Amino acid sequence: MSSSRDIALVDLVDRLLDGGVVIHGDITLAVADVDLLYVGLRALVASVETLEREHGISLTSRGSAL
Amino acid sequence: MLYAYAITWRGEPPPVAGLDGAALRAVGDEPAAIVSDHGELPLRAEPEDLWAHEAVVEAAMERGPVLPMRAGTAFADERELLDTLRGRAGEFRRALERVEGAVELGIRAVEDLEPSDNGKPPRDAGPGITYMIGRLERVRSAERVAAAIHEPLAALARESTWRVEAGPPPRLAAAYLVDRSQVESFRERVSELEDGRPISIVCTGPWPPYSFVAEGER
Repeated sequence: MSSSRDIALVDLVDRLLDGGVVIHGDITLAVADVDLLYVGLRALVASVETLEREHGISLTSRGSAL
Repeated sequence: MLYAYAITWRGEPPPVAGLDGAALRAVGDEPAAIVSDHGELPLRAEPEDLWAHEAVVEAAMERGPVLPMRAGTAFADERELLDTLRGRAGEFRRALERVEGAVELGIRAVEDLEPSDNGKPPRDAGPGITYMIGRLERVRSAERVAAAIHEPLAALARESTWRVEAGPPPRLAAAYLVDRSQVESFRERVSELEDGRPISIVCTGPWPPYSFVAEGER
């Protein structure tokens, strides 16, 4: 993956985990599955951010629109 | 189960495939939800799944305003989904009107400067003092970035929201609800703001309005 794709992925995960419509109530969710999904997504973001730090690619593409 | 991607006005799915290649369908009408049918939660914590989910929401956004769902939203059956759509119909309609004709643009901005000398703790400072001074410096840095970047960009947006990511380095993470016709002007403004300032900015999007689906401010 390219670095810009990585940065966009971090932004996407941010939005998928913290944004969007939240359904409350007695919805029969597969709660354990969703918890696992979120743990996996956080790990994914952490690995991308580590890559960014190690390769110095974070926020280096001046004014780029991805 | 019904896996849900987004809420829209129209009861008509976009012409793309859902997760696992599943067919999309729409449930309900004004508002409707774009869903696909699965035996178990189809979204895995893999980039290709996240982009596949995103592709459905973006395709729906080509047809009109959408409210993207939070990742992993699923319903046991159609009745459960219809109950939710009916119960919150007023809220969803107002939210669809709020985002109509607009997209979300994301900004991450960081100061290029090393922390200033007067932001460093004395050499004999203990861990508590060092922590507090470091924290103060982060807050100051974030405030400088917010004043230089966020306020001018917010002026081009219908709505905006921002927060500081602790880092290091601390980053301004902001989202802007921008009229489609203003997207290019917004990006030009980002480039102008970066020129001559010790601040690096990355602009992502256009996104579906993930950060502007809830009523009230975050």
